[in-house]
Amino acid sequence: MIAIRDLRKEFGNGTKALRGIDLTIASGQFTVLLGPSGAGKSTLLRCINGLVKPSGGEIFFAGSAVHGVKQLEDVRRQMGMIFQQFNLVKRLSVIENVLCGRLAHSNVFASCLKLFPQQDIEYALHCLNRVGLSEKAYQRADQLSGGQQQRVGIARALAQNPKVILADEPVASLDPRSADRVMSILREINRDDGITVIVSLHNIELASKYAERIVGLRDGALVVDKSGGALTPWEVERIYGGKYADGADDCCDFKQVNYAPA
Amino acid sequence: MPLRKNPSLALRPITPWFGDAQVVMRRLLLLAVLVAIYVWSAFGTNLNVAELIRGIPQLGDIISRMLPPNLNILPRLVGPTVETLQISIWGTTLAIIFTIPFGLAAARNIAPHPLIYKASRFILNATRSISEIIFALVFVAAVGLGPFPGVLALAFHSVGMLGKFLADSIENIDSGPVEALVATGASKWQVIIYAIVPQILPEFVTLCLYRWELNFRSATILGIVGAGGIGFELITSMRLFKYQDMTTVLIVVLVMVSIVDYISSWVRSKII
Repeated sequence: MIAIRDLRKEFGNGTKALRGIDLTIASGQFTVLLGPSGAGKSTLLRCINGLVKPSGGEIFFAGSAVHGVKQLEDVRRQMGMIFQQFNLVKRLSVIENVLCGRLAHSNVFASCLKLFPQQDIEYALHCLNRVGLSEKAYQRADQLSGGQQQRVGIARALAQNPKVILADEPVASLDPRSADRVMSILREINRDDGITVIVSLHNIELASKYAERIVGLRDGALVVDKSGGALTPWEVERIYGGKYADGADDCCDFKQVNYAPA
Repeated sequence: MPLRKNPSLALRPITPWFGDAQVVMRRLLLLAVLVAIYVWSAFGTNLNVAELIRGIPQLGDIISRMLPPNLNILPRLVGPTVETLQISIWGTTLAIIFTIPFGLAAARNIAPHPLIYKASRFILNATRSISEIIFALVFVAAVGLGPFPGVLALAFHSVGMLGKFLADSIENIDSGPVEALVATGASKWQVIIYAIVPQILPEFVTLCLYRWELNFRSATILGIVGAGGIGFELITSMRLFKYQDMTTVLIVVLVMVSIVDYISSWVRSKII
């Protein structure tokens, strides 16, 4: 479904976010990108749908390389994205937010007048129903709790009828219960609809609970790639650093301790 | 010394203000420069307290001739007052219509090209810095006396301010929803309508109402240069030394400005 070859990203300030990632994601897989903040998880996800332009390497989607604006829009239409901060349009109603997922499938002129086909509206309601929020459809998005807003985010992605859902730290701003609910909805979508899901997380427990495959990132490089089962302590330390990471002498990594005042 | 540069007040060491000779010198120098600027400007403007005091009896004389207001001219003022209101309504509306394309093009985050961004910013700055009276003089010369040049003058001047604020508020929006909509594959116009407009609309409506208040006030003096409205009555009564008529005009202006302010703030409270 998605093949990534030697993907590199260097930002304007010289930060090397990705240092040559090779990764192939099979259709229908539930993959978790695991790693500490700054490991490059967000950048990797954003390169996949072109929100971030890679500095080097190639990305193939459904067999063909992604080049050019038109092709990029076509790829984006087939990929839903979910964000840590939900990124809903706060002043719009819940259903309008979900309908935003239909924009790329709609007539530009009609949609700019806020006109949607009846079947799109019904489909949006159906998507809301799947995340358990159909009774909130006509409330303003900012009146919902964080967990509910994230479920609207999922409904918006579902409304796109995507082949892939990319979720960038979808539960990092949520309490444990809401986080669990959001993760199980993602798993359900993955199993029932066969949508390929790629989720970035920094929580090892959630990752082991839901992932079919865990891809560990550290400092922009792929350090662990494991299908099924819990991570071994050695793998955890490959990702998060510690005494096994770069050899035994590195057990007290003072470089990571920041005493500077915030 | 480096600690002094720390912006956080809590972290600043407690030292007496005279503790550092260099700092004291710098402050004295700043004070001297400020005083010099004020003295220089006073000479340039013939600022003179004695003259003001000498003028007080004449001021009293004018005021006494302004009273009581001549209310008999009220019926004659109805037409020009309505015209003033109409000028402000169309001047503001035209300004809003012109503002939308310029405001969009002058927002760095959505401008189609850096050159278009720069050009739009320049046009907005230029129209903002030219006063509506000057625009009125130009348009009176171009399209003749009457309220229409007044409408154009208000529209051109207002575009500068409205456009700048529109562009600034677009630049300050939360970029998250924009990113989310781009990620769905939505086109640029769809992103603008769904992610940007809802975020800026309340602020922009407030701004347009405020601009309408300002434009009504400006419309009351446009008549002085022949661009329609109640200002023409004002200048005529002054030129004919009919100070009591002038008082009535001023009262009408005061009342109308208050009414417009009231309507505008009422509408604002209904929207937000």
